[in-house]
Amino acid sequence: MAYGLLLGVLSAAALLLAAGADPGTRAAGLRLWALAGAAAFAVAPPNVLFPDPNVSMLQRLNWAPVRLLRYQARRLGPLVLLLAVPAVLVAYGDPNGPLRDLGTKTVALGQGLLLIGAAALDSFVHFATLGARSQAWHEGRAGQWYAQAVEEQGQGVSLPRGLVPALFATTRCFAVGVSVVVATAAAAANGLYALAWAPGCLLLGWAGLRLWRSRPAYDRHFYHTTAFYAEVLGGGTVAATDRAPVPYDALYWVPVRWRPAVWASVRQLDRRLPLGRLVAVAHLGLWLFCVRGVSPAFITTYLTLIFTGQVAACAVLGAPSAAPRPFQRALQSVGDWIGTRTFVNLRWFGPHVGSLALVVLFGTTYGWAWVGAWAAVHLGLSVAAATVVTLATEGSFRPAA
Amino acid sequence: MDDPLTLQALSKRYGDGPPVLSDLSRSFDPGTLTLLVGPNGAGKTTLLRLLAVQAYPTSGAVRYGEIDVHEEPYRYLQRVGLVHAGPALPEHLTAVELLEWILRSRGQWTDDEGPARIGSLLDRLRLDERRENLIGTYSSGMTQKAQVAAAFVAEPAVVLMDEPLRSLDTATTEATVDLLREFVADGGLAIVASHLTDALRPHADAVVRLGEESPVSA
Repeated sequence: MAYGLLLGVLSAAALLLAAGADPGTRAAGLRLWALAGAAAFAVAPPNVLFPDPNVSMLQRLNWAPVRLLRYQARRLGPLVLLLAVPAVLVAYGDPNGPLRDLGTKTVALGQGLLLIGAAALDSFVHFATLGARSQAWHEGRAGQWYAQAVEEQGQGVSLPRGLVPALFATTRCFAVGVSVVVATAAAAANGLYALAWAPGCLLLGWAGLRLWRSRPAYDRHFYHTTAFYAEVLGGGTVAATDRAPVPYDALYWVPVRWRPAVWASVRQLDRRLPLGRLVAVAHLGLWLFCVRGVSPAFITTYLTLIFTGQVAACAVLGAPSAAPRPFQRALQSVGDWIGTRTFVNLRWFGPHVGSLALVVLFGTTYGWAWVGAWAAVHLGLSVAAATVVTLATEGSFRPAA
Repeated sequence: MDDPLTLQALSKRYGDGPPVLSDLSRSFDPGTLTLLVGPNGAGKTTLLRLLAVQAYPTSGAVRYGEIDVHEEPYRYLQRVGLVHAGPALPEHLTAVELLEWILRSRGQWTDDEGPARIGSLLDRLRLDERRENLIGTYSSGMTQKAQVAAAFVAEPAVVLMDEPLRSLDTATTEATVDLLREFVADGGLAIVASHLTDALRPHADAVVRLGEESPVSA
């Protein structure tokens, strides 16, 4: 349901933004969308694919390497769809003339989908085969230069060392994805329309070749990468982070009834996702857009994405490792878990409203009613996300016979 | 069923922590039942996860005959039956459907013999008429029976079991031990980690105590 909601929001935003645009603007919009795709595929694969929750069952079935590869590629399918559907709508969503410039629109769409597909395949191959290197870093058998730099300079990212290769991979995949889009845009801007296909084709071919080479031993890649992520993110060997956990008293604004569960949930969420940093970066982006004077329609889409993404993060708390069903149900009722997760989501209500208030104070485009409306939207989304996640987890649990 | 499982200087640590297993070398022969015992945190589950390719060693190797199990998991797992520490079974299948799926997936299903093979195994494990109910409705003991059945149904050469007797009643414990005993008598290689060793110890060919200076066999 959350997925459907996000797909609906993105599709609506695509239709809204592309309405009335000429083919050239649509092509530019598709390349911008491919940039968003590069960003998504630079971050999403390890979160979507690893550790695989079905690994024990897959071992019982003992699927062949190629079948494991197909299985994992399919798991990335919904993300590809999330980017492909809005792309189709950006290309063809033209109520004034759906059949006008059909050829030009189709070529632009093809190029956009090529860029999205190439970025997806490149990052899939890269992340799916990262297990051995990540484990070597985690156990101090590789990446000594990084450890030495951290020791000498006292600086480094606040991640378990084994996740540093994944961080580098994120940067690398994003850089490659952006380079390919920029090269495509440069070729198109200089009238080299045939050459504009080359960067996407090259990346797709290169990623395809790597995938083909790793195909016969994909069982090793799959089990190794899954084993590594199971080690570093769960399975009783969770690495501690250096972030200070939220103190109980800091949640004074939560009703007493739900405060203990909210406290435990927020601590778990903070250890899995740097949500505060993501929210801060998102609002920096908002201020930048407002300073640049982008259209209110764009800001509406942007805020919808930020708020939806933030509340959707409570799905992390629905994973079996964070919410063992019998334990959760023994602690509280389903209704109480909805209340708990609503307040987990509302943790960022204050910063959101504060950021919007700054936009109102330092600009002239928006007023206080705008802030109030978005506060109401956030409240509604918080309740909705909490309800969806809880119904899918504690709500679907049936006590053993 | 004649390949040994060999640990070659096997070490495992999590992150930069102290080693959970250090320089462990030994061989598990076909036709033997080995018990892994030791206090909590001694490394029993870690060793089983390494043997089941759910963890990769920091150094050293595990070989099954000529196969390095961490290099060729698919080839190795063709010969292996597993009972994991957590249930991890699909809730919306029945036990019968689960076993049929495993047999079909491993290319061992035949319409003539498949149902009888499943029926006989579940009879032995005393999984009653509820075998046709969804696994999600099972008690922990019934889920454990389904796990044990899933380990044996494909007639493996090696079984790796983490606490297989947990949650089982006395009759099913005896049935599971009988199953293991027959499996070993037929040349199978069984490695079992358990705190409930009373029922298994009389049939064990070796007991490996983990969590001591060096693993001790008895």
